[in-house]
Amino acid sequence: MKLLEVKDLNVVFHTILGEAEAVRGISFSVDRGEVLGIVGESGSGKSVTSLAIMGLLQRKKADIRHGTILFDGQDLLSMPEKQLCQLRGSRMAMVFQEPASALNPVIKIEKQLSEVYKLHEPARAKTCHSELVALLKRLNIPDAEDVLKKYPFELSGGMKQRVMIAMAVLCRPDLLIADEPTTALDVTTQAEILELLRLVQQETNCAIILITHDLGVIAEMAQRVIVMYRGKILEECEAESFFRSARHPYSQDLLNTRPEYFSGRFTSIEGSIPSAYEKLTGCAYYGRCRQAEPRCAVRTPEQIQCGDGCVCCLKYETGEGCTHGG
Amino acid sequence: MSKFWERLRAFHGRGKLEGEYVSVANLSWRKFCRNRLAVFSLIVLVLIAVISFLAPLITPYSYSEIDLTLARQPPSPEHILGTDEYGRDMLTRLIYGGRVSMTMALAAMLLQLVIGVVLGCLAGYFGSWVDAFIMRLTDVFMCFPFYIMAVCLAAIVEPGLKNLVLIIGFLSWTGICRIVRAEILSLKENDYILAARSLGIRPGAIIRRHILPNILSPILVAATLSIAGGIMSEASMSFLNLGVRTPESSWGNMLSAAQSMQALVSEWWRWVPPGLMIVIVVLSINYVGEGLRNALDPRISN
Amino acid sequence: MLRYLRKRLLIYLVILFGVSIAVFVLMMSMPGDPYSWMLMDPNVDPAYVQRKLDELGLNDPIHIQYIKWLGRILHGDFGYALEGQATLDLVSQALKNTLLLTIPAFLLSTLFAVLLGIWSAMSASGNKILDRLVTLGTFLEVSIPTFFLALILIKWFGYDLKLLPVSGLKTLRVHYTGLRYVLDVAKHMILPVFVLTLTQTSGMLRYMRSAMIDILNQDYIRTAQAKGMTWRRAIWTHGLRNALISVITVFCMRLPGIISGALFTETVFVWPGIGTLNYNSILNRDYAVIITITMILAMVILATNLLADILYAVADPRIRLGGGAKE
Repeated sequence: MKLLEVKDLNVVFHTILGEAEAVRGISFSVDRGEVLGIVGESGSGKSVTSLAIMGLLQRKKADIRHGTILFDGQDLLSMPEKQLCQLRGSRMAMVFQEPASALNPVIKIEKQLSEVYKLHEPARAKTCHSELVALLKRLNIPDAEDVLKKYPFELSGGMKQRVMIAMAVLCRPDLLIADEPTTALDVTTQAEILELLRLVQQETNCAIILITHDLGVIAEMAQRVIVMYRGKILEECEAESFFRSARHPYSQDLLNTRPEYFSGRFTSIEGSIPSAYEKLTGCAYYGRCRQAEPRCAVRTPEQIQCGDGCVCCLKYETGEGCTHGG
Repeated sequence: MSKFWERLRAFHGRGKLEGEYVSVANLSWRKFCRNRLAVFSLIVLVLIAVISFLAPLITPYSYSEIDLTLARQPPSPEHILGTDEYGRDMLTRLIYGGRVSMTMALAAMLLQLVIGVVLGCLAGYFGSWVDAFIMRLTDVFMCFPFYIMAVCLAAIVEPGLKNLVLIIGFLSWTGICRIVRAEILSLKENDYILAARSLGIRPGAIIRRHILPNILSPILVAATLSIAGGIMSEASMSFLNLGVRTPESSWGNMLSAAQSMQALVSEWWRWVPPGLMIVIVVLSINYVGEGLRNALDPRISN
Repeated sequence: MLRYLRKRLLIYLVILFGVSIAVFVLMMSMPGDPYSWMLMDPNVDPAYVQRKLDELGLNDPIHIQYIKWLGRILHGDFGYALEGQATLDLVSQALKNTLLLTIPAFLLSTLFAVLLGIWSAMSASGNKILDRLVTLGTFLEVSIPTFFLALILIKWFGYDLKLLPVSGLKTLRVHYTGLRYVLDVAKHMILPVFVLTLTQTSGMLRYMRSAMIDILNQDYIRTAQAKGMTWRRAIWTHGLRNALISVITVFCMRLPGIISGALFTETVFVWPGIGTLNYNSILNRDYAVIITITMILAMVILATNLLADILYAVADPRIRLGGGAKE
């Protein structure tokens, strides 16, 4: 049994402009101890997917139309709130993008950390001080004792993100979702935080879903890659083969925008991601795709098994070009 | 009004709706219309305003003619809301009173708008000592409870229509001033303002062309709500006989009839209708203001 | 925190200076002084009047007059009422009675505002009817003039039902002592306090509700949920404190509003407080009393603003520890 299985997930937002389909029927799974990277531009539905897994979508605004999310065989979507709360924070945890706003500004770090124990292992909550210090030390926070006594605003961005990671791994979760954990940080801190995530992964052997728009982060961390675009998965494959020979035209374009491919002039993908309000026919990437054919405008491509993963493009319908390196 | 929407559109850019482009003004209007309570309130307000301003055409009676033989009559077919202690028709006075109350509130709103926007712009745009001075000035004004100060001023100048407008306007600009200042402060650092400044455009022109159009929405909302405040202030001051004086009628001075025990206890028609009118109009204005606030706020989508 | 408070204190001194100038200007523009009118009287020697005016310093240059006046104020000499009492005594007695109304009203409305605000904000995303009702209530309530509400209550409870006393602070011509006196005063307080509470709650409630709705969208509430809290618990343990910090200042700043409201409530209920005193002084053209009231109230309000600043600084660690996130 896989650790996490998402099947045909569909999330709709209700807004004044009408309904916006943020996630349009995606399916994927995560193995124990695996690092899965999800890439995509902003608005592609990566964050919504992660929030849906955690059950943190605001019920008023977002509506999960259909689909199932199985965590360790249990259906998260039909689970009563109380049971879901027991899973959250202990067996699955999340690190958010903005450490500055994700920590409560008026509560000391120690209390915010020990709260996790209070919720899941009340017996340990009273005596956890030394554990917390040890954990923070492990996460390369030298003056851990001091940090615990501080308020979030007294810490730097990198420190706050370390605290967030500590908070997430306190109960040794099976699944850690990191939603753009390094986007809000400066470059040197980014590398350190990634290093920490790797360390955490090795020590606790948890699965990580790493959401990012930075292909460098994927290259460094992920074993498998999912490319999302406008609420759909366009391609899914092993990280290694993704960087060697991505199949979907969008993936190829993404790879070409990397600075390493700098050749006197930056390439960029022309146009912008279609609005979530538009009802699309045909391929979502049609308007921007340089390899588009007339039929792409009318026919919606299905996911096709292709080599070690799958791809969602009419080009591979016949199974041609699926073998890597060919 | 069309100019306003144009400016608003220029500021917000365009929103997109199912493939078709919708201007933000249009979008705001749609959002406003969705709020049924606000639309209903707007209709009520327009209706009351129209009736009040057409008063001489509608009412057969004079609002000031005294006929003591008709004094204190309860409602009857001839006098739907009865008569007051001088035999004047209450409905007529109510309609004329609405005209006075609403005109005064509008005038007071304009006055405080002018003072508040000018001072707010100066404080927000020029900063440093200008800002410090104006902010301390508002602090000083806010140290005095409105009615204590209003009553004091009314004691110095003669009570009356014009002076009451001046007093209300003079005492209530601080709110708008603070709003304008805060909006400008957050706007000032935007690149297009910096660009305009670096081009050497004069501050007056920058404020008029680049800043004011962008802060129209909060000003509009504040102005709407201050009309409600004006009506309440007028009523309160006139109730204390420090505002509009008879024979001129206003909702506030009609209410002061209830200061007599007899009217309060047994002649409801002499004070309940004007009170209800104030409640209805102020309530409607507040709903319209709230509707505007939601419709014009780009952050609120629902 | 000390640096922050010192800065605020300095600002307050500046404001106090401004207030004194405003009051002084007000006083100078009030018509008449005790002697000028004698100039019209042919029986009085103009030289005598001039001498008297000199004695009072009324012929001094304006800034000297201001300094002399300020000096007298600082010594607690606010002048005398027409009937001969020191205005300060009159005003402080009235102020006590006003506080007897405003403090319970303030506490009650704060309590209601906080509870209803949380309730309303939380149900804004679920049970809409509740939120709508609360919103309707607050709108209705800010749209009713204080005195109109007071009049209706007087008619119902005082005359139709004959349940409660509607005027004054105690029953006239009866001299209760001890507990019965307290009960008598309390009975007289019910209606005015109710009116004041009602008129104050809605404004605070709206602040509380919007502060709370703001909090609901904060990332740290989501973090708390991610830790395994239910939405409700996350709001009570993480949201409430933040919401309270953001409304403390606003609540204290509403004091001038309460006093304004009290002015009308007192006038209608003939409660012997500042409002009634002010109104009567206006009718009697007793300017010394009016000036004293204005000055004293300004100082009371300034003091509460300072209190609000201190509370804010104590409640928010970002200020307390000198992070200086906000001014």
